[in-house]
Amino acid sequence: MSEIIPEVSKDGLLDLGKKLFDERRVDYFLGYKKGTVRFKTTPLIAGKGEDLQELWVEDFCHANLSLYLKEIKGRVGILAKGCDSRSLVSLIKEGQIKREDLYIVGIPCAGQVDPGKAAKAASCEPEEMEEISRRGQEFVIRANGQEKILSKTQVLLDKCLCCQYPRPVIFDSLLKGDYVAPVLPAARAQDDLRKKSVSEKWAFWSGQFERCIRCYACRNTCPACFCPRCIVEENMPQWVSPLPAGGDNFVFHLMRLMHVSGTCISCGECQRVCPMEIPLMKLNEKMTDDLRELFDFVAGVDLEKVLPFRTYRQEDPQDFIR
Amino acid sequence: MYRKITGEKLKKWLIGLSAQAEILVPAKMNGLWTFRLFHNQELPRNFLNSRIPPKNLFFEPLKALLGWKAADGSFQVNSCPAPEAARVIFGLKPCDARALRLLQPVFTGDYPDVFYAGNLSRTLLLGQACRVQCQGSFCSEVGIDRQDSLDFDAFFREIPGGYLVRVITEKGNTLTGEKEFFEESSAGEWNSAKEEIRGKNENPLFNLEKVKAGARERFPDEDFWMRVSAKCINCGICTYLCPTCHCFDLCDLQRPGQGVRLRCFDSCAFPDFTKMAVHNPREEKWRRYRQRVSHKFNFFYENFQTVACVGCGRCVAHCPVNLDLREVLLEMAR
Repeated sequence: MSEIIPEVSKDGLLDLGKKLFDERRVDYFLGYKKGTVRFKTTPLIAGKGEDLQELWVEDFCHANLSLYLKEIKGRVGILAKGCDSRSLVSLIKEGQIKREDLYIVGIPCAGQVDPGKAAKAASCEPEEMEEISRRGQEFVIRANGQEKILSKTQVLLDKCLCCQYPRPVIFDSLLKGDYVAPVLPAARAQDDLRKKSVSEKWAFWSGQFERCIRCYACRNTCPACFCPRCIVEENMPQWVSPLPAGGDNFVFHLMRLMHVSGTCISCGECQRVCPMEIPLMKLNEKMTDDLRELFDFVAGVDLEKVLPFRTYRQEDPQDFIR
Repeated sequence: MYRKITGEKLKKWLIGLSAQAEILVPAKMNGLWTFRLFHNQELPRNFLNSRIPPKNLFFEPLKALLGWKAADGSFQVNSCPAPEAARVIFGLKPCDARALRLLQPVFTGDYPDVFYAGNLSRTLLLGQACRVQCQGSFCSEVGIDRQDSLDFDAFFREIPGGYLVRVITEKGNTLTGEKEFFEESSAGEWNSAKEEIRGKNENPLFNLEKVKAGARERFPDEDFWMRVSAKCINCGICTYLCPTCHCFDLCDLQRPGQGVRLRCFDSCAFPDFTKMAVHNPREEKWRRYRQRVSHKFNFFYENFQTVACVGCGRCVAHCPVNLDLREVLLEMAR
């Protein structure tokens, strides 16, 4: 039997949203609207149909809107790119939200632009870029009055270059469009860091975490970080000090990494929002690979398979726990 | 008083100064602009502003205040000394220099902070005029002239081949008085070198007087604060990247027989910022967002007769969810 996919056109999206409110199927609708700075959109949190007027689905829909489900309770309509839908699966599995409370509208994603990366490839400062536009399979960057043609691999977020789920894993309807990965799923180039010695890795991450200012944007933007109270904020006893210094920064980031393993779907929001541009995804990707290789687990792709942290198997690779 | 200097001579002058003082200049580090120790390199010409404000060089994000030792029944507390070594920072922007001045009454008023005061008095502030409007900025709306400033010891404006210099303080006058490097210039030459700011807002975004009045009127309007703060994710980017935010936390690191008391930044965006034993007056997000805006445009103005925002735009440009302070101010001004 062929699958019937409820499709909705871009014009129809607004009507669908309004209908969901009218029929009282949702209390909120999470989408995007045009941003106030270049190359950004901003989350649109609608509490009624009229709030949806500025709904916008184009490039620069970076945010993984499922982050707001930590805070917004009730029945929620939500726009989800392929990757974002995996966060929803994770959150359902973790018991944070109920599938029946969600109305998921999948949106096609041709890859999200990384303005910082594009600027670097165009040899200019991000502030000097006036426009980033798609032209066929390429991008045109206009900076300081000059145009430069760049390839997708030079412009898109790294996570989009290894996108394996361009189509949402779960949805209630899909926005019309092509659900294909932005580039051919070529074997992902392994992170150079993997081949380095432990001492080289230590030196690399010491340098990176040295810069961390402990703003917690990585944690707060992460849909998988849903603890009502984070251990770094506990002060009786104080497990981790708030001091933005090497040791405690290390503990914070590595602990967070361990804690979100199995729930993290590599949406890359932690790295995108980091004001110090720490390449946090190198850690998440290592964790993702380890989970796949050691536990045969991929986060957020099915609702059934048990989370690695929630299970125990006799044949688990290490014997420290036996 | 006005002077001028060629690019080549400026570099030589700074190299000469580095024998007597630590020199910091704009440089890129891990892809981000920051102020780094000068290694006789060429000075950048396309520097807009640093990601982390230079406030951190005066009010450090992590600072040891005192140490204690207990040995053989005695107990000894040692204050950390105020910094004294001479220092020069070149390339500071008018917004950030104004921010340093705004913080002066906070750190040198009723509760003098020897570290902030020491850092200010040991540093020669050399400013540089802006040529481009930074992303998200609204400096002119809060009364900052991007091409002129009196908040420095000397202020540099780029001209072809070099810089014009406006000498502001006696310290600036002495140091730029070396005939070997600087030539005399005039107010006429200074004024005629004023240039258009690229990418500037055509019209002012808002009227600051109306914002100040709006900040007072809007304070009790809970619906307003709930609405504007709805998408805030409670991270500390806006406060930690702000050149005027100055809230801090104290933290003791203790080992047997000794310890150190440290000061680190804290942020009013964090839910635990005001948490006390039995009560948290700012449990809800909207109260915390209201606090940040009100502190800058209402309370600080009440206390120090100036708003605590210099319009640098860092909080606008780097907010993970594009919660734009300019939009909130615009609404307050209506």
